[in-house]
Amino acid sequence: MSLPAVRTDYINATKGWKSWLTTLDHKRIGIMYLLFIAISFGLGGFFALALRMELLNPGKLLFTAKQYNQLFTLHGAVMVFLFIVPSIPASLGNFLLPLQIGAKDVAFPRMNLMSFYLYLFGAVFCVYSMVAGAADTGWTFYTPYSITTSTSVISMTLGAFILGFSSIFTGLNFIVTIHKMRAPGMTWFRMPLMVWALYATAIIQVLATPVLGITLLLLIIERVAGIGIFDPALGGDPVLFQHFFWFYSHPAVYIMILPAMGVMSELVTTFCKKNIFGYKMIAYSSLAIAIISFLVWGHHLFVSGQSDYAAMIFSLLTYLVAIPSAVKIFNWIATMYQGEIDLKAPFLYFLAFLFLFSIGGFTGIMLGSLSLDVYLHDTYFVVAHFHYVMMGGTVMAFLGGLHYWWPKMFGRMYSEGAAFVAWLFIMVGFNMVFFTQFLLGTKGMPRRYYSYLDQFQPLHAFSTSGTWVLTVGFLIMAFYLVESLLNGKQAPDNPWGGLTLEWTTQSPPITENFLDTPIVDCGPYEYDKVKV
Amino acid sequence: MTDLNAHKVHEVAHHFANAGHEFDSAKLGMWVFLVTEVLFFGALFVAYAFLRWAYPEMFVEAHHLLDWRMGALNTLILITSSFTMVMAVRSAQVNQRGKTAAYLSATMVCAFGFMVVKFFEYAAKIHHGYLPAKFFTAHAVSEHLHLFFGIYFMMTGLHGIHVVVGIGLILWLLRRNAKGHFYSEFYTPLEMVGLYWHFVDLVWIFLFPLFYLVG
Amino acid sequence: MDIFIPTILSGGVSYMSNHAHSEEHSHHFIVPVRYYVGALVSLLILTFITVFVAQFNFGSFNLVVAMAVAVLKAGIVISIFMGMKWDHGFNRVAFLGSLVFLFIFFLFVFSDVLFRGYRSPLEATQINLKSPVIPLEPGEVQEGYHK
Repeated sequence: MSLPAVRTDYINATKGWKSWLTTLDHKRIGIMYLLFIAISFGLGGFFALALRMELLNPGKLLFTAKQYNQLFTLHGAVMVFLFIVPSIPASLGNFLLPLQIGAKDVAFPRMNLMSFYLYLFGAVFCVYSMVAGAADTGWTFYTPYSITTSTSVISMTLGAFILGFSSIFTGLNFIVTIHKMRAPGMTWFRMPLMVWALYATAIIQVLATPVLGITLLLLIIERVAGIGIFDPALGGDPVLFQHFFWFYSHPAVYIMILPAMGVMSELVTTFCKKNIFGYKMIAYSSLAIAIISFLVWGHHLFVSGQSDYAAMIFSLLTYLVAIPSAVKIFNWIATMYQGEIDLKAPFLYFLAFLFLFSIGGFTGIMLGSLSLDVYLHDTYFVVAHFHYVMMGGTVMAFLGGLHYWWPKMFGRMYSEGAAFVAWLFIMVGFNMVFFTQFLLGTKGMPRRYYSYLDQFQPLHAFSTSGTWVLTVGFLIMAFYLVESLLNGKQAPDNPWGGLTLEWTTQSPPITENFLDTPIVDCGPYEYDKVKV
Repeated sequence: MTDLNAHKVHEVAHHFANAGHEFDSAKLGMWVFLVTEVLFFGALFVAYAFLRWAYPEMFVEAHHLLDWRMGALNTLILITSSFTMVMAVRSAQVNQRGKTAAYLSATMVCAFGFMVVKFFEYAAKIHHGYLPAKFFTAHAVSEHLHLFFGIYFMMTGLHGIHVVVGIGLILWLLRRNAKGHFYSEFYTPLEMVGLYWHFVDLVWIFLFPLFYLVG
Repeated sequence: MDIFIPTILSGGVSYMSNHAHSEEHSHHFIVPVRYYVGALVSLLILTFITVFVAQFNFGSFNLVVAMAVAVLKAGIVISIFMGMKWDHGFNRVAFLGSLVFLFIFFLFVFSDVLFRGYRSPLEATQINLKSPVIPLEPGEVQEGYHK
């Protein structure tokens, strides 16, 4: 292939770090997000390594009990608020959304940049909390402990509060962009499923995040002035805090997983060279998940003293989530049927998602059953479940998407062989860490405990050793991705044979995305009509 | 003397097809923002409902400690300001720049008036020690009275912050209007701040009866 | 144009596809002043009514009246002042949708708090209250009391 040596693209269009800090280009903002999200992932991962290390044996190894509490709080808070909530929407989504709908930019580029700076600003508060007596409440900040503890709860919650606004502005921007900025001919049912997923995500971001904002604000004022509403000593109700918190935080887990599902739909068509099976059902199931996500938060409160009546309703409604999730899984598998499957790195992560998310989903249904949850609540079974969904689901899809769009983002190809090795380490390491925790949980090991009975030691040690395998995998990945930026092969415009609009422009794209506004006259994945 | 009707022609941002496209996108964005505001304040109304349900007698006692005349005065002020705001937008739509400035100024006077009344109310509460729990020093019958003032200061305070932000936005509008930025083809910022301002009014419409009237 | 766009979702207009069409778009519609004056007058009257009614004690009926009037006032502000009456479909859907989700929040929170104490009476009781309120002395008048 003969490509010109240097082409103008969004990366080299303007020079100097100032041109990045003041950029309004959605692609550059996406890349900056990607950088800080990667750093956050590294930080959260470091905390995870440290706390798993402490659990290698019962009793003290490296940290005191209080430090251990702070470690799991920071691990949770960093991973949730700084990494996983913005991960796919703010980095990949920002980069891709306008490209996939054939627009020049998002609807409000300035707001997009502001959202990025709010993210940094919020991150500063979170980091400040880490150095100034890190919070030890767990990332859920449950009252009344979070009102009375002497650790720096205020700066951490203030950080999360600001990060919430960053998330709201991203969601708002995406909703308007999808409504108003689609290219000619790009009807709702010709949008790539990634866009549908981002749309559903944005709905949740806009509807749920304000409630988190007010909850954290109430908590802050509670500590400062004593509103009393969440403090039982003043006549308030701590369970009400859990309602407020989970009204956001349960939908928030769908903020985390929905964009991942969008990435999955893109991966499966491109690497099977086949039109998606059940396009409309996948699109509608994204919206269904978004709406149902608001009806199930009470399953986090089954043993918190919420009324039996509410608990039964929430348990029943929780099962409903399984339906649209299963619709997606079945449709992806049906798409693979008789496809020309190409086992490139992104598709390996697709398979990882399919396998791990299914385990996470099924155990989720178990935990949603009221009677069973009473026994499994707050055990390692829960920890394993949500890591299978969040890490086995979202992180796998994020990595898949990162590999898939890496050539588009940076114009370089990474080493396919190294990618396979890294994938292998991550898959093996992940299952070592977390499958073990299902066993620990069913044997009765409670989560968040500093020490444990000797009989749990072998399983804990095995789980901890898995984190090292996992770390090796991520280090290999970091190495070959950075290496590809330095000496990677120049990427063609469409290395995988994808059909969505981002593959019709050059790699990396020009600042204006497309030379001419694209005109769309067919669905996003019609491989039967096009020969690649 | 410069021509009052001279205006700066608005340039449509590069990624929009035309002015209508830009305006409608901004307006949808504003409505979605108001959706977040509904949930933001709405959660506080749920908190209010919980407390009211839990301690109904305390609320009867507590609402007598607020002066309904002050609340009613502020209601009238905000309603009037909503009217002047909407007239400011309308004046821009028909290219009457002087009237836009006058109506915007009237809106700002109302906003200040609201904050002055608020100041006197807050001063009285602080004087009597009717404050959230950590600062509560008053004598009273109900042992839960601090909860009322916790939620009262939380809700009216957050609303007050919105009013102050509104004052800042109106100042910004006045400046841009003076520079001749708004005319019949471009008045997007006026319209958007207008929507925000009416929302602030909307919240007060519920706060007033819930705190001052219903015992 | 044979493109199907759900009217409510797209706000009725596809800008990128019909450049010429959206030039004379509805945002040039100017609302007659009588609507605004009418809204102002009705809001003032309703404020008077709600204050007047609150002088009488109808028990829990007071709350119903006050809320009914407030909802009516809100409706006027939204439809006239905020221009919802003349607005695009989706803007309405978005705003009304937010109320639906707020209602869901309200409903489920109360499906818990209203039915506490069924399993154990302890769930519905309050213990260890540390109230900052100083009890009123006999004969002492509460400060700042308004009728």
